[in-house]
Amino acid sequence: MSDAEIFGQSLFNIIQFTIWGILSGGIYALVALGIVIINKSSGVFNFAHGWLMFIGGLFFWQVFQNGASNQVTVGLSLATAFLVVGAVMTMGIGVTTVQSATREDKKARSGWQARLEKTGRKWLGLLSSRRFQIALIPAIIAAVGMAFLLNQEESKILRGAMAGIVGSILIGMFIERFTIRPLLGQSLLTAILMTLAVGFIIQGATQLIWGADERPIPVFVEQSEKKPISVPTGIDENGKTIYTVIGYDILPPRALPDYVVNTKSALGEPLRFPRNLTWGFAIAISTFVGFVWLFQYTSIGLAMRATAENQILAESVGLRVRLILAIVWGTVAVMAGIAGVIQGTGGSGLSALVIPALALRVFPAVLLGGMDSVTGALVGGIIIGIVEQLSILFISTTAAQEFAPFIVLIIVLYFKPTGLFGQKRIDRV
Amino acid sequence: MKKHFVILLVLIAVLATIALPSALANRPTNPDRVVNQQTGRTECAVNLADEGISEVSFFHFGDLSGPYRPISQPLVAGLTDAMAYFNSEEGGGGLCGAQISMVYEDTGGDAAKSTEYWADFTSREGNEKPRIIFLYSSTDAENLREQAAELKMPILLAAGSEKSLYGEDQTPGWVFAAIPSYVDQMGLFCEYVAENWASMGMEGEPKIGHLSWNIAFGQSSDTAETRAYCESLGVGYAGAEYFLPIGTPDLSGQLKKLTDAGANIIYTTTLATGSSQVIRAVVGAGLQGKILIGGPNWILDTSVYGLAGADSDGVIGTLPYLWWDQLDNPGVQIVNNAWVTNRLSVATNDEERTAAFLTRNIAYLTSWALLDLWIDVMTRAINEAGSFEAVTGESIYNLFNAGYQYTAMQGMVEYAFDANTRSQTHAYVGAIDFVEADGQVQPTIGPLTELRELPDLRVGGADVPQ
Repeated sequence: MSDAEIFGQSLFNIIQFTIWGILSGGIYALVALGIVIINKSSGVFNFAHGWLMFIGGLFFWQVFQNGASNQVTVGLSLATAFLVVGAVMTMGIGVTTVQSATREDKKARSGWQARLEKTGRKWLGLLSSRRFQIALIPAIIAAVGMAFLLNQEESKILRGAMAGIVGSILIGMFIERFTIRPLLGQSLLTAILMTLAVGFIIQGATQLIWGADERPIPVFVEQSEKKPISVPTGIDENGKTIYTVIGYDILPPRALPDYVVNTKSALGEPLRFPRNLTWGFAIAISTFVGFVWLFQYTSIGLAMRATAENQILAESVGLRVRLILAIVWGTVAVMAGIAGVIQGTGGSGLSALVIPALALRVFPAVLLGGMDSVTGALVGGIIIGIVEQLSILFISTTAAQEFAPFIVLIIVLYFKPTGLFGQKRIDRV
Repeated sequence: MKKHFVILLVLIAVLATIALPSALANRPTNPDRVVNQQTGRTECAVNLADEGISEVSFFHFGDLSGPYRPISQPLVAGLTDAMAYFNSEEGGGGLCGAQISMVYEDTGGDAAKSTEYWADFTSREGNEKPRIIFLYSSTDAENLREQAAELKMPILLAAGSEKSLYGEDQTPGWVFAAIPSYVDQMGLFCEYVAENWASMGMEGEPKIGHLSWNIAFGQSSDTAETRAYCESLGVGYAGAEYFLPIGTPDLSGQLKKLTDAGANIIYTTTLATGSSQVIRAVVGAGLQGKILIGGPNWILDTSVYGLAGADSDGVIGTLPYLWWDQLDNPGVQIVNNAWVTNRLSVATNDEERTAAFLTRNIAYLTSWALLDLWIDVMTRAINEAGSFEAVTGESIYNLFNAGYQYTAMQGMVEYAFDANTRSQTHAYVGAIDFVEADGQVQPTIGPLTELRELPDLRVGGADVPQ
């Protein structure tokens, strides 16, 4: 069996390259999912997605590599508390709005609280609501828990993940609030151009804050004793070189080899699974399952679907479209950050050259699966991954990256213009 | 009669003894032969202050905020520190009595902006007009090659693609590279492999697979000439895979294809992220120690071991200059002292020290030699022309063409150009080495060979096998 050949390639190579295609397709799918979800909920094609990947990765890296300073700990803990309060206050958003909840609470409030609301300062009214008081308890627990996790010396990945998640949610909601929300009701083109501008702003901001250097994320590496890294900085009077210690943790340790499955007897060689791609694929699948569950079985998912279908109609039935969009942007920013970190754990590190461009490279996957289909994003990503890898095997990398995915895309769109899983819309005139 | 003749001879001899030295003293000196012992640079015969010029600008532009910023920003940091040093008395007091300033623009990697800044710089008049423009990337140089010849504006280039230097028609143009061309570097690498393969402990006959970026720079090492030259030395060719520098998640497939074709050497013409991806792919496949990784000068850089860490130990490349660790060289000492004073000493925490460490790289180091080269060639041009105003782009071009040699930074880099040569002709072969000493890890880059002449492997080059 190990000698079998198809079109001049061994069976082993075809299986191995297909596996690599599925795994790298998982990364494409994770990125494509984020783009599709934004597009599905707001109709906007998010050109800033790549930069969300980059900045999410930088949030992770900052705390993963350097630990959390006191300011970062306080800031992220407060942000966590804020998000928990927000989550509790907006629970059941699909069926009961915050406004109706506050009306219920009105009865239980004292005179000065009612007066405050009358003066239009509703936010203060919100702060005094029962729901807020209930939310404070988990918020405080979450904030303390966050402070604890951020200061874990032993678990760099966990503390980095916490920082990445909270930072990404905040940046996603910030973008929605200050760049997308003001454009509601304007033409979609304006919003799309705005996402381009947001990308440039993140690019500039990351350079100002983190500088120009590429940052390795050494997650899949050997655990070794930390030794000081030193460089020669001068020569003493006796002609001896003076070395200065720069730091202890500034160079990544040796990387671990791929996961290996011993298939030597069956296929002639062991199958290899690159660690970052394997984890990326697992996370992509988990995220996909999570989103299908969210969309299909939760009230907020229902609200998201309704918003995606028709924002005006959704608003008219009491759904808080703006809040839903904020949640969507926060969630998508987290997904983008995860994709950025996974790509950063590969050899390229967190690079402004490599990471944001990955979002542009998944466009064929998005179009292939269908612009508004979560399933399509997953399937499209994996198909493009497989097409690329098999093209590398049978033709060349150049063909695989610059030619083959687009040929497949054109063929699919010729027969199914909405993509494999895209919805066909009929506008009645 | 004989007595008168003898007296006449004595008189002539006396007159000659008196007159000749004064005649020699009045004869115009050859400025190129008068060297400032302190800096090793050509001595100025003209004081620009007398011309009312207090400042002369060094012009450059390139991608400072876009994808290549990790390389270009340390370059500007190095140029800034170098300028301050060269303007000081210790560094020679500027250019012939005038202070050096920098005029530069950021293209963000946008080719349209490169064209715009080129037009802006070259349209300036009088003393504000550059006499030579420094560019960072092969792509910009290739795009502006024709315009440079048309406007008679020489380009000093930090990169070395053959197309930018010689064009499609193999004509030496107005672009002069500060490093060896990539084809020549590839040839030197093959020479080293052929000479040392037996002692490297590798299996089989040496066979190279190219795993490089799918851009002009990445594809510049693999030509029919380099293949023929390497094969003539017994170094075989397994193929080439070119991947996009942006957004390529993994290189396992490309590596497998090349190793299936028999490659036991992977040569990568990439910058930091690309080289690191190649190294990580080799480690991931469990092939470390079984595959030799090599590349042009850019692979021997802090940015590579900063990303790949100890996995980059043993990577081999061309080293056309002395590296930071060769502190016995006075030029390297000057750069090192400036880096310690301006970058390392001002870092107050681990994060800032790491950032300072990353500026201790190829771009910061070579920027000093580039500025030193610029001062020297400008000095020679001013000496020849008699004034700064009389210096033109053509004067600089003619100087290079007439056979220009300069040892920059007191031995750190050897530059040599002539009518037929547009890039460096000598280099070491070097390697990344992670040394453990006194409980510390010292990542170093050092030469494995003596400084040696590179083969000439451009199309029709002298060393291309017939």
